[in-house]
Amino acid sequence: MSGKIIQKSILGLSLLFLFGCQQTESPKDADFVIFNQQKSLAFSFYSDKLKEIGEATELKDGRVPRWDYVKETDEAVYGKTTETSHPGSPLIYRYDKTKHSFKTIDDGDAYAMGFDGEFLYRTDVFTDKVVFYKHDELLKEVLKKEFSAETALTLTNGILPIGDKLYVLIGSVDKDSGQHENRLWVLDKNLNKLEDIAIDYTDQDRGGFLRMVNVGHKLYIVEPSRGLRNDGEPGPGNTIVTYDMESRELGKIKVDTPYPYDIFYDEERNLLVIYHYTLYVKDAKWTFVNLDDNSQRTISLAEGFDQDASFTQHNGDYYFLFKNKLVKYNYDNDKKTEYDLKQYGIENASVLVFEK
Amino acid sequence: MKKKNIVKCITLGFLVVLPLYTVYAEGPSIDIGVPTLESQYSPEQVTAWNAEVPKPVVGDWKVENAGAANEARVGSWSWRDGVICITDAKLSGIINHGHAGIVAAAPYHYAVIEANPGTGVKPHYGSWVTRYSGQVWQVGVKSTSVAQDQKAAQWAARQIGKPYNREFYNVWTRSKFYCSQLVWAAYRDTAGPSADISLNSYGAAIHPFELRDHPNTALIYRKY
Repeated sequence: MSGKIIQKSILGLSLLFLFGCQQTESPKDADFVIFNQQKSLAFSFYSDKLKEIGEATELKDGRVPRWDYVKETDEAVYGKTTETSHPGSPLIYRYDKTKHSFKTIDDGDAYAMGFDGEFLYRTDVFTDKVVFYKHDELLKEVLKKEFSAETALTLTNGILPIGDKLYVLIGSVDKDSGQHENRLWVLDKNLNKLEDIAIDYTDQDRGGFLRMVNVGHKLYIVEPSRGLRNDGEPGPGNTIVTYDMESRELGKIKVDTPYPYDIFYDEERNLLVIYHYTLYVKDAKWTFVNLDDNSQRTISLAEGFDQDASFTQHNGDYYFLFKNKLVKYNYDNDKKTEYDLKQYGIENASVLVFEK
Repeated sequence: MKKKNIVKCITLGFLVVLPLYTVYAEGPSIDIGVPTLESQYSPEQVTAWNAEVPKPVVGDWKVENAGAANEARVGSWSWRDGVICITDAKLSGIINHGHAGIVAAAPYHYAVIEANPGTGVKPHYGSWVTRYSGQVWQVGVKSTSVAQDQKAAQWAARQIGKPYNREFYNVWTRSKFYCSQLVWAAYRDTAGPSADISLNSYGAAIHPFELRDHPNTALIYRKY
């Protein structure tokens, strides 16, 4: 009897030694996750190389997080998915960085999105109205308000929560003249419209103002294109429009590379980071505008057209996630480090999320 | 006796609930009791439209030699007015509905005009390469000029706000549209019968893939 007990104890200790002491890494140990189609894969940096940790989670229903609609907070990432299988109907999602889980809602579009640290604001655009939604951080709807379109179409290209207000970038089309107009709506956080401000700087060949960032009391807004090219495609824009929320003055910054399409801000270095539309601009060019001295630097990150990348900042470095590669860029020493993702089976990466 | 009743109830319950679940499970845009596109075609027809007619990607041949201001691009997504966009969109695992739209003319830059069940006819902003993770095609009508393509796009813009047409055989109505009917009508009504790009393969209804496979269209762009 005592022999059996000893045998069992030895067996138990052996099993404990064999399995209990093995350290298995989980997505919680990873430095970041990458969404590839519906799945997210966890990785760590290891001596300037990548180490795959494993699969973190999967988004159901065949829809994939879009690379160009990402709002990141400390706790989560908010975004919208592709519309494959449901034309016109993306999912709105919240990806929890700690739990590695998705929560989705299927209730219209997120034409523009903004997060103020407590609430998520989004819009859905119809031909006769614009609908604003306010959600809590877990996507529960807390307020909804409709605005009838007074023009042929009222687009909401961007929402920025600033202080106790929401600044909404509007593109509209005049019913009679067919002229495009760019405007700023100012809303309070109960979604009441306080102001409607015209922000066009010209009457000729107006382009749409697509995205904006806030720095101090100024808004920096990209105008990707103006007029039409000879081949019928939208003509090149070269302008970052500035709007001073205190003095209400408009200004312009000219960028050397055309088609500025999206814009980000590096608070640490006081830099604007500008994505140029890769449909028309070759070699994945990104421009950095130094707001201290107005200097510009443009870098190329890939060869050819259609080389889109989602942009993330982390620990002072910039990360550009392409479909099958990740590029880390340090602005201070102008050093690029490239990681091949194909070896991990990644061919359609869309979003990069650094762990909490 | 009691057990038999319970079994009967469960069986009856399944029979009632299962069809409803099947319909709902296919997606939020499908209404119970409303005919869907796939319900009107035989499996043979479904197989036929899933088979793509092979065509080379020729780029936007109408403007490639027009002295483009920027770098030449062949076989890329195009925002030229009137270019036809098609994607595969499987609402179930078998049947590929496809989806079609037409690149909008100014002032709707970077937009495609589409007819969708939820919203009717409306411009949707953003390239389909980004919006759809499946296959995407862009085609041009061989027999029309750049100016006629622009007219087709402008015509489509005038339909914005009209409701979705669930009567898929009713292609001649102009008070409501489904996706491929809108694109077909934009060319048919502005450039005449020579720009009719329906194959009539599926009765009188127009499937998005007909626009892609018609002999009078050429492939400008393709994404697998």
